[in-house]
Amino acid sequence: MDKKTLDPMLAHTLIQSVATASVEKISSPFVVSRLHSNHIEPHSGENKTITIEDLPAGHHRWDIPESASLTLTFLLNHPHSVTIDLYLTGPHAHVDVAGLVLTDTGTPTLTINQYHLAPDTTSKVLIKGILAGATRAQLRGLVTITDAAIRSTASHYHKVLLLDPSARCTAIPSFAVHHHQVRCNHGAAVGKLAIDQLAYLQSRGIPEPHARHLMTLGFAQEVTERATPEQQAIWHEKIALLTKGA
Amino acid sequence: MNRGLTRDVVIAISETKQEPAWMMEFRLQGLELFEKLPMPTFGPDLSELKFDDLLYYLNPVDRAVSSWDQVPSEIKTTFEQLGVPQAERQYLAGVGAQYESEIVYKRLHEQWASKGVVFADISDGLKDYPELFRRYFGTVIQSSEHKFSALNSAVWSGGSFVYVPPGVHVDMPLQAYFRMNTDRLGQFERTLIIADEGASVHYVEGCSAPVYSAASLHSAVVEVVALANATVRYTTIQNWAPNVYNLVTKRAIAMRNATVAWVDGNFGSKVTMKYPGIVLKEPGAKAEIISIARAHEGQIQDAGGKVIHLAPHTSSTIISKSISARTGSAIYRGLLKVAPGAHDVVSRVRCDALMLDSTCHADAYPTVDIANESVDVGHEASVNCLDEVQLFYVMSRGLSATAAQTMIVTGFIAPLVDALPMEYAVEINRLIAAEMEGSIG
Amino acid sequence: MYTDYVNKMGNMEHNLQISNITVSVAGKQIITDLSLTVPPGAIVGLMGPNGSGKTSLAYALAGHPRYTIDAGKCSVAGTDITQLPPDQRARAGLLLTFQHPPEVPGVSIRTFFHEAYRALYGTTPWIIIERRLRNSFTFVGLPESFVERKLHEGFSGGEKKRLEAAQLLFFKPQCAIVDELDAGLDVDALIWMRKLFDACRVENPNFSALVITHAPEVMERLQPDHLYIMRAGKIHAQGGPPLLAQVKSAGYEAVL
Repeated sequence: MDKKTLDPMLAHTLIQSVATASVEKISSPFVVSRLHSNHIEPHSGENKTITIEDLPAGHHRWDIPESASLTLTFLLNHPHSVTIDLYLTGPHAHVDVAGLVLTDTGTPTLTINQYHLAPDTTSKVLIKGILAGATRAQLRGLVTITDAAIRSTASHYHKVLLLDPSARCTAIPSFAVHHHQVRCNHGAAVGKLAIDQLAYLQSRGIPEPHARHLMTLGFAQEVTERATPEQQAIWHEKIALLTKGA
Repeated sequence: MNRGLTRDVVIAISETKQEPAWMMEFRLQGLELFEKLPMPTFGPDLSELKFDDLLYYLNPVDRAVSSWDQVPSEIKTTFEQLGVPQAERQYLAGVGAQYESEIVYKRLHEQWASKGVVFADISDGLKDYPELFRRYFGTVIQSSEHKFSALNSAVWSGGSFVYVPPGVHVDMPLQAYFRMNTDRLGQFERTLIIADEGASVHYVEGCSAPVYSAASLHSAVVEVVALANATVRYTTIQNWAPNVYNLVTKRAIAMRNATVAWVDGNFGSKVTMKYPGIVLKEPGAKAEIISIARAHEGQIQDAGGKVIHLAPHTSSTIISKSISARTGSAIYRGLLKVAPGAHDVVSRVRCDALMLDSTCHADAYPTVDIANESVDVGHEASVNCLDEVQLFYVMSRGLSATAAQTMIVTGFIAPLVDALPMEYAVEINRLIAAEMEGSIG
Repeated sequence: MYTDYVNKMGNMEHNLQISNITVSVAGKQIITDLSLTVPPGAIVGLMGPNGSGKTSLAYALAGHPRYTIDAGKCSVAGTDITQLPPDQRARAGLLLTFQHPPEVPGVSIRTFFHEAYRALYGTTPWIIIERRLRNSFTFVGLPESFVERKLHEGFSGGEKKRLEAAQLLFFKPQCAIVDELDAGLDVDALIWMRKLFDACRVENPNFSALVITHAPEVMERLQPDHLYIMRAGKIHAQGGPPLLAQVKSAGYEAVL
């Protein structure tokens, strides 16, 4: 295994990239390709937690082997295309992803694919989007459960808060399930800040912009609470830029 | 009888029906589009469909099977299991003459006529109500939308024309087989339903007993127009025989404060592609789509629903439940779209798939496309197998494994079956019970 | 069919006879060499600290798919149920009230009760079953309208307990296994449980129950005829009222 020097694109991340070879022929039509993963992955039996403060554009992939687990938290703060592929290649592999998408411009596209290739695997993906300005975001997800993945559980949820009238979102959570003894759930919810809650905060003396900011922080909390306090502070500032109300 | 689709075939259809010039022109345009448009880029494999081999216009006489002996035995067994009366079996199998209860239907027709309700064969609609027909025909679904809407535009034959005058409420459901003509096993049915302001009607078609057809492609188009404050409910129970490709385009336009509901039961056919759609065009409009699919033995049920919110203060719900077993595939494909001007929209989509064994398949491909921030929109889907604790609990009270599974599966689709008229509800439950017997054997 | 058993009454076989059973779940052995007897007409208590295997025993007896009886034998009213599927154990006369009954969506209570009754007792006029159903609901304090609801769907904890209790009366089991029916209920509910058993015995004098709980106060109110104490998958002690008094005053450690 080679230790590559830090790629400038990954300068903000806290991890170093490691080459890996993880190729298995799984029952068709799912063949794990020879693409190298570009991130540190947990070893068999290991639990790994990774927080990426600013997920770079492009293709990301993690392979999670037998009895390993990966807890991934990230912030996506640019209007470019990002794809994350998660391969659960060995029995009892687990992955838990929480991501925050913050944009106010452009057409950010986030695609997360979960592939269950082995039995007793679990995956959980929660993406919270906070969209402002005239951004047009696309959130895509595909959960694939092969016929080898008996007793697996997968979930994939998109929850999106639209802060401005011209913000738009297209959410496409999908699944393709080839084994019946599994539990698979997905969902997408889109909305704006609840008027009655905003009114309540204002009635307690909080000016509207700040009330919007507080509620937005509350919305993002499920993701931000997984980061360290320092990281959270940075993320809150970025949210404030969108809500303009800190 | 010529196979394959040519200009001559289309002209012959139009001439046989003695249609006005504009309709023949419409058909010919449809043909041109059909030849140009590509096959769909999504969905099940349709490569076995050989357009040149199909018959595009069957006379009722040609269409029907000439004797009861020719009807496949699985069809006969299902009739047995469902308790379909003997006379009805022959009729449904396309054998023999028209259904015997003409007298009953005649009386119903008189009742409706006295209120100004029109319920006729679609070709009669064109003939007898030309202005009304022309005003709405082809406005909900354009020929150019896709290959199969174009095909239907070219060769449509048979179907219903319904018009309900303002303020009239048709209390009893209009059943497709009340149309009193033998053009019932239509491959390319075209239906147009218009509910005028404040009117309400429930239209029901199909049946749970398997319908045998010599034709292997059924490509229907259904257009519904619900004007202000009108309510239209359209229920379809489909159980085409396993040789049939069932590709249907159904869409409704709902105007101010109108409500449209599609209730869709897909039990048969080899491949079904059907995504009933509702366009909520004016404020206050409401959409409801309820879909049940059962996929077994190599069937592909690719179904779902589409709702497009064009106006503010509109709401929609889509509920889809599918059961797949024995190599069947159930796929949900849906669209929930909110246009930029559509604020204060509420929508809920819920799809649940039940997979009964390891050979079957369930997929879901929803798209939630939101262009207005002032919305409350949620989509949820799940895939599960039969819960073993539920099975254990029910069995521990004395029910056998088959009975317990049947009970749970029936419970799974219960919310939808409750939305059906009673006779259908009973039939669907019997169909599921027969299915479960077959599964466990 | 269960009615056949009723005709055999007078033959003093035990309602529940467990002989040296070993039970495992997910490959792990959780109950070892356990024996227990519930004679006709008796209320027998089964107590033990949390995690002792009481509910596992109940599940194994009722035929839960994840639990296997690897050795030994169980019989209900003379029928060997050791390898039978759950529905046949019910037909032998066994009924388990679940501590956490699952929700069964879309299945109406009325449909469930009627079909199960007919599965156990054969064709019976609808009105007879319906009347039985309503009486059992009234007894446990559930409104009659509940028959329209779906099986345990959206039920509160108390409502779930009551529906389980109603089944004790409705299904006429020979031997009921009552798993922590008291949990979450107040002491008054225990009087109610005693009354429930008495009502079952009115219809069937040989009715017996194996009552599982971990709270000594509950057992004391119930006044069982015999008591078993379980720990780590084994029976560690058994006896009459003095044993119960001991547990109540000095805790499990005193007897284990």
